[in-house]
Amino acid sequence: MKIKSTLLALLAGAALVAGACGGSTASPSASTTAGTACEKAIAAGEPSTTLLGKICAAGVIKIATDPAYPPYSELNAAGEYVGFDSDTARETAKRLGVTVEWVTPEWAAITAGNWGGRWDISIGSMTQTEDRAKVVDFLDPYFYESGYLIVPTDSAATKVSDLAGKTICAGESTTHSTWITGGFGGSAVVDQYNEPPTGAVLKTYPTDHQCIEAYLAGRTDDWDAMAQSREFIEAAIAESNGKLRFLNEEANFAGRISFALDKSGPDTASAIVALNEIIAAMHADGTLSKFSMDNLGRDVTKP
Amino acid sequence: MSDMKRLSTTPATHPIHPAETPGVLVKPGAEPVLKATNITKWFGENHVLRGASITVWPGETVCILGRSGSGKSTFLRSLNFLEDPTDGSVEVDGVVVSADPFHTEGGERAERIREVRMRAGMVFQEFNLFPHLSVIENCVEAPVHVKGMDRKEAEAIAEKYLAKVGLAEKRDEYPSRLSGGQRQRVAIARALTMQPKVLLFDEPTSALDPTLVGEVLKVMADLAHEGRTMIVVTHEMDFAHEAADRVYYMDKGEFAEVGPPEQVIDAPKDPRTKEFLSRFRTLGAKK
Amino acid sequence: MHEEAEVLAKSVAADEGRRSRNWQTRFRLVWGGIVFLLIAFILISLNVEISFIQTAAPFILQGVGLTLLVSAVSILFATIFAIAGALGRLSRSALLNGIASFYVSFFRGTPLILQLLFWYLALPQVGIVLDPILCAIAALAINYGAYMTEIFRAGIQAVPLGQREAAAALGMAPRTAFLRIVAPQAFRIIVPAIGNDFVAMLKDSALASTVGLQEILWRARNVGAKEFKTLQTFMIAGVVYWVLTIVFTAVQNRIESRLSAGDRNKEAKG
Repeated sequence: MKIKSTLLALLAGAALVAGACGGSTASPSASTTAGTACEKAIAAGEPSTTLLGKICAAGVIKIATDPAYPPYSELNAAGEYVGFDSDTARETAKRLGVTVEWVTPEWAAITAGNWGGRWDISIGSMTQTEDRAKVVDFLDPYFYESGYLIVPTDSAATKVSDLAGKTICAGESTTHSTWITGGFGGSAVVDQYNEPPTGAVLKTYPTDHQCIEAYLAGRTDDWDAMAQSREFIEAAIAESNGKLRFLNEEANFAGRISFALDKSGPDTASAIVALNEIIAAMHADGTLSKFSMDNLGRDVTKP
Repeated sequence: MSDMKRLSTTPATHPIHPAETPGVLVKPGAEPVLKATNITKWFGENHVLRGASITVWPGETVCILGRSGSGKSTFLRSLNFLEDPTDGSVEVDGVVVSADPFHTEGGERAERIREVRMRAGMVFQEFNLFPHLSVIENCVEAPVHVKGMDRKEAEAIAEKYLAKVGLAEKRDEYPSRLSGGQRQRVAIARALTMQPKVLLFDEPTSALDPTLVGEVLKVMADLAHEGRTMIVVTHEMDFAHEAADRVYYMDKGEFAEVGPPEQVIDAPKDPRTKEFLSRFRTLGAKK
Repeated sequence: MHEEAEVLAKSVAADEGRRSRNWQTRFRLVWGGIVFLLIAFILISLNVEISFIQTAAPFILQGVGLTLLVSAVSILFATIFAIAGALGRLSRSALLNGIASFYVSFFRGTPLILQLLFWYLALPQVGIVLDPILCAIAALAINYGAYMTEIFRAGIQAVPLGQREAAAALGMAPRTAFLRIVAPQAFRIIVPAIGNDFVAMLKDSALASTVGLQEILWRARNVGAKEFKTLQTFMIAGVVYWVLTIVFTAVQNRIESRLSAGDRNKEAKG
């Protein structure tokens, strides 16, 4: 189906237009509002030059995600996007009154901004940071995530300061790599509980997973610790046959996880208002908590 | 003897001697088929042709002799502008093309060159058949795609000429499956299918196995006796002697001697012709 | 006497047949042995889980269609670019020749992945946003077109000068001579090269994974990363690519042998 539509796109020399008219016919969701956000925006005369107007006019929202992060985002064998991010993204589109088109670029391309209109929004567990906020607009957080450290089981380290001068692995362009190289001291959007270890050396791979894989494949000298979220570390430990463990139960920092919009694209102001309303409603009516419980088994949507 | 042959094809009038080529007998009012004047060619510093001229009358077979490097092939290739001469002009069947060394003339000259080429069929030393086309396709390719002839009509003409060169049954073969002699005979049929006014042969037997030379020369001699107008650059002295009406001897880019074969081959006057032929005779005597 | 010779000839032929069959058997044994050793090495050293492979392989195989689509469309356009490029390189016009030689120099002289990122990241800065699949096709087609330009040029030049002269002597205009005489002969020289490049392109299309195209390699990385098993899924992807190249090499061989059927493309000189 994807191939077929790309073929169509090729032949027509145009972008994908599947479901272009789906927007106006979407039935009102279970939410309390009458009518979708797009219906309201169009009724209010939203120009098609803004991001919101463009999405509503197309009837499609192009959502960037990296579907290699269960239980947040995952592309399953049936070709469906599942997980907490995916559920949230689908529900957001439903409340907008548009259909979803998934785009799966590399993570660094998402955080770098300048999307050039290839996708409209990132709904992929992006943590707010001041640096990223220079190129993207963050919406109100939809969940909160903390950074932890994973170490080899036989490591002598039990606290962050034990890792001074050691090599710490992280995925490229992740908040975890940012924490290792400088920390979030003084940040207004990231709550830092622990300073990064002094003199730590950052080692990155294009994805977080490669840190773990390299270690498990026998490259045990590559790093002394690795930084990632709790779910990721739990999955890695499960895969490691007892070779890896949490450094300790302490979170080093906690971030606000948000949708992101491209600052260099069409005007985002009205989209920010409309999407923040939807996020607030999904918090208030328990939708996000339900998605969190379904996928993670715990509620991460409260600070 | 050769004059008698031509008389038999033009019996209605008494032949005359035209001013350009004393000694040749032609019908009153006849025009030369091909007339090349002052053909000059420089390859860089190399003066290959030094103002060579030739006039060929209808039904005449002219052989051009000369040692290797004398410029006789270059001269022949200048007649249909495969070599663009530095100076001089060529007229074939009323179409005139002059040298254009500074390329000042445009597409109109190129069109006239094509007209000349359509009227002057060429047979190459290396045959140059089209390997991706069958024998019959080789023959009709140009008549159909250059002259716009109907394919059926072209095939009928081609079949006639293939029969004449003795290769009617090879019409659907590909060139790679033919012997060298057969290939050259196909090349002759291909040239004939264009129904040219004059045939140019560029050493047509030089690339052949000695055993295959005879079959090609026989076809050429038949064409000569039928009254085809032909210019043949060759080393085959016996052929020249038997089939030519006139022989041109070229030395260092100019014609040293012209005349009937009995004169130029048997009793040359020019010292250069004499020397060339004496070496030939010695070789011939050894065989 | 005559019969004796016949008997001898028959036994020589039989012996040759036997030796050829023997050679084939040993050849296959070598292949089988190497493949067996490879599989054994992978099974022993990589801790392969069959159940994981069973779920990952179908997911990866879903990318085959996209890989083939991208490669096929790209080779088509690469061929068109190469024809244009070769004509430019053979042109007497300084403008056309200059453009063509720049094209070849630039696109052969820079990494393919840079070109892909250019189409993907640089063009949007001037307002041209190509779909990722179009970026991949543009990058592959233009890059391969540059390589193939030189092959096509060589193919056209390999047609003997005498062919052009014969066509000209028959009164053909240069254009007619090229289309009807030179091009068909050059085509036979070029076809094997196109086949080779298609097989190479099947593998280079894996670069499209960097712009998020869900072809074989993207799927292998994605399904592997989730469970920290990309090494295993890369192995699967490797086998998939390998099988594809084996299949298309076989197809290519058939096309080539059909083209040269009847020895039509060989005219011995002299």
